[in-house]
Amino acid sequence: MLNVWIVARRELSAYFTSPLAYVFIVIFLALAGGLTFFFGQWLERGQADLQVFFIYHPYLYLFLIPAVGMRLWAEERKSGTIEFLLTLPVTTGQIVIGKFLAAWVFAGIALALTFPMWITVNMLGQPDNGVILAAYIGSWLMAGGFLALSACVSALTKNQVIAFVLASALCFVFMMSGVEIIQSFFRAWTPQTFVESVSELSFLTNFNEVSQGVIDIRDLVFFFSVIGIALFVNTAIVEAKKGV
Amino acid sequence: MWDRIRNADRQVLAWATIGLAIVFFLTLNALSNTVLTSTRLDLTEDRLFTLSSGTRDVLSTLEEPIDLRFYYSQRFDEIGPNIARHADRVRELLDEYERLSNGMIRIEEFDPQPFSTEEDLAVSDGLQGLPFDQSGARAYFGVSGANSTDDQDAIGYLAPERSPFLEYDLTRLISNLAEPEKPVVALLTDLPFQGTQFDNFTPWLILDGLRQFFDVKFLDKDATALPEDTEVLVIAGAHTIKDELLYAMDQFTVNGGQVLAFADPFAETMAMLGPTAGQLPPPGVGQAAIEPLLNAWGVTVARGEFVANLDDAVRVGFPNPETGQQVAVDYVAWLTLQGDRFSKTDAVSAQLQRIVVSTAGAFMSAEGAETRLEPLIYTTPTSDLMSAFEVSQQPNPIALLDRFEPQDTVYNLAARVIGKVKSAYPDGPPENVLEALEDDAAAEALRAAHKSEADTDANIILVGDVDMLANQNWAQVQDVAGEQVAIPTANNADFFINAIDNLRGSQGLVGLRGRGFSIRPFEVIEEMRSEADNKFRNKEQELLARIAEMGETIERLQREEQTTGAILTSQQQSEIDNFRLEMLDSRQELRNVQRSLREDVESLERRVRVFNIWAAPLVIAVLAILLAIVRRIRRSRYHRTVLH
Repeated sequence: MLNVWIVARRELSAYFTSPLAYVFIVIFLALAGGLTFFFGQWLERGQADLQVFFIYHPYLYLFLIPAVGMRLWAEERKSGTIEFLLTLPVTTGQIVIGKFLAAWVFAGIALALTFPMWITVNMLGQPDNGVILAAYIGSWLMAGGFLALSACVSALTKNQVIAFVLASALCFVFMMSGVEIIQSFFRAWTPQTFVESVSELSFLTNFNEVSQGVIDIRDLVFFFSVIGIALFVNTAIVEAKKGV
Repeated sequence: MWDRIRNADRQVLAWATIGLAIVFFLTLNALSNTVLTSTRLDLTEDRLFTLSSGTRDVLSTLEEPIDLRFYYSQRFDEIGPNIARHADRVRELLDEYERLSNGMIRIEEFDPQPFSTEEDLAVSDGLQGLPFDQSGARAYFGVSGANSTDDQDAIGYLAPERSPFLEYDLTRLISNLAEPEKPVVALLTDLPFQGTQFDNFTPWLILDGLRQFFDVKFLDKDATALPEDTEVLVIAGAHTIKDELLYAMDQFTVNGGQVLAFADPFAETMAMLGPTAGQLPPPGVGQAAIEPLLNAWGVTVARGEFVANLDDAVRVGFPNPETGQQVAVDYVAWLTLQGDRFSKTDAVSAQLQRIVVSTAGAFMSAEGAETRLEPLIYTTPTSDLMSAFEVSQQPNPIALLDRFEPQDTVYNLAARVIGKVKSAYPDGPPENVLEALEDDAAAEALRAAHKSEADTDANIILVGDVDMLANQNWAQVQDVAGEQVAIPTANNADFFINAIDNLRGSQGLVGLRGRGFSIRPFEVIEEMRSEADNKFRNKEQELLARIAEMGETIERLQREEQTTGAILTSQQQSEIDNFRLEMLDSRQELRNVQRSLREDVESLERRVRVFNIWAAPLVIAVLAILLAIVRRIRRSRYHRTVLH
């Protein structure tokens, strides 16, 4: 545990020494705000809630989170630092978890910096803050899911661009699995029960439910199992590629 | 060689582990979706996703088994995950009902395929099939139920749009089956409750709602008595009442009968009857018709006067007759009441969030009355009593607002009568009622049965506006896949049905109504808009008066010139020119005033936009640059110290 903590801290502080982190946060905040006001017509709707703010998060994460996740392993592999990293007295699993936690906390910081929206909505009206809290939690969990998948893909390749594109594609499949375009693909050749279980694996459906203000244990199981399994696979990939 | 094999082994092992992990992931989620149900943390303010105590009460007091059939066509899944999720929610809620009912509720689920026996069953149970594709096949999503005596009821289509009211709809279904004998409500009204020729006699939605719980018996114009089994009497906008009926209603009340009476200074909904109904009844008749009863109950009304209020006025668009310009104006006759305008101590009003009324009257305690009024819905002190004649013919919201003078008085728009009421006929049945009877024996019997004072406390609720029951004041009808679904926009129907339920002492569903409904506007912006509009109107009035005055002067001078033939002096001519210029200036100023007031709201919106889109990114960017500079300075210092 201590080792995980040390890795996470080192990684997190590394984020803030490169300009990339700041660029990411600035882009995320500006886009989240812009989409809410210009596409979501938040002011014109006249409703004191943050529904149109959260509704764009899955789509923002679709390309912003793979951008954070792509460098987690691909960069280490390219610069060769992975050899050094793996000789440290920590297990691969600990490094995987530590790296993921750092990135997840970083995503959390970016998300928390949208707090002016929360202040504004409370100044203009009387929103249901319980629903807003649930939506923030849901959004952060979803970011964690996207991130774990992106980290996993990043471990497969040296090339960050390939990692980014693959991770985006994988996240897209997970995000949209409840939607008909993905469902119809499975419906053609798999039994109905399989199609149903695929639809349950959708980031979008699970996030939509949480963002209505109710945190269901199944949504938690879903998000944490995505994160857990992706990190497990990530460890297996790093192990498998050791010395290759 | 050995290394390569070992490496290959490791890779195969890794891929196998990954494969297993994915299988584990799928299994875990499939399991969690079937095994884990209803464990949820409800963070919504009104606990929308938690079963209410009202439902729990209804379920725990069931005495007979109820069989529910849940129909869901799996084909709905193809439409999208939302409807499938809603179906899951219904399924879970039904399971929860089953669990809490101590075995009294039994549930069966069906997936009606086109042209199957299940489909026939669904149709005969009263489900509405939605056309699914071109082939004419229909899909079903609803619940039907039956009790042990074969009474049936159903929710024909569980529209996802009504999801916040799902618990209410299901509990109502069960409650109806648990109590199949519907209590009789006698309804006396002159309003078009059952529709008009203009809407193909489509009944008001509120009547559908009422019929779900009660056996509604309309009293016709010639009725002289109440139906024998009447539990609750509703007087909703009756303009003339026969003396016999009025006496019957009086005795019904004195004998402890339950009454919900509307005394509306002006029933706008009468206009819906169109020209065939003749002229609109003059203001005050709806109040006058039941005034003898009201007085006997110790209540007075300001006949023909409605409560105008500025704080809760509905904003309407109105073309200013003087300028022809469309302006937004607070129409003080129509009110949207929210939040603290409802008594939180009375079960009838405690759950209300929003009530819409139009030209509502007020109730006051009569001097020396032995009863008292317990307010249920009331206004803020920024209120005034105004004559309903002001709005009965071509209402002018601007003129109305000009004449509005706040009286610093809170008015009761709905109230409960507390105490023992008296009869409006202290000397026994009125002569004309006795004379109308067939024989002396009947007259004697009526005289003997007469009661001039109640023994028990009254069960009376009074409401000052009857238009609140009309669709346009509380519901929107949406077309959802060809079905008409009512989506409430205010709690008017909840209040109406709650009041009747509460009068007859049934509390089960009272607490459930009003849940699942919340409108949270940007109060600050709305207030600013309202303030800006008022300011503009004042300024506008001032300038318009000035423009009119100048116009008159110019006209007078020109007329003098024409009639007397006297040529205007150059001084007069220049005066006219000056006036013209000033008039143009005034008009310009008017436009400027309007623009500048709108600017307040617009500038707030601009600030909000900039603050939310750019403030945080800018701070981060500046911080990043500062940090970079600090780091560079530190690094160069370090280099210097190392080098020297």
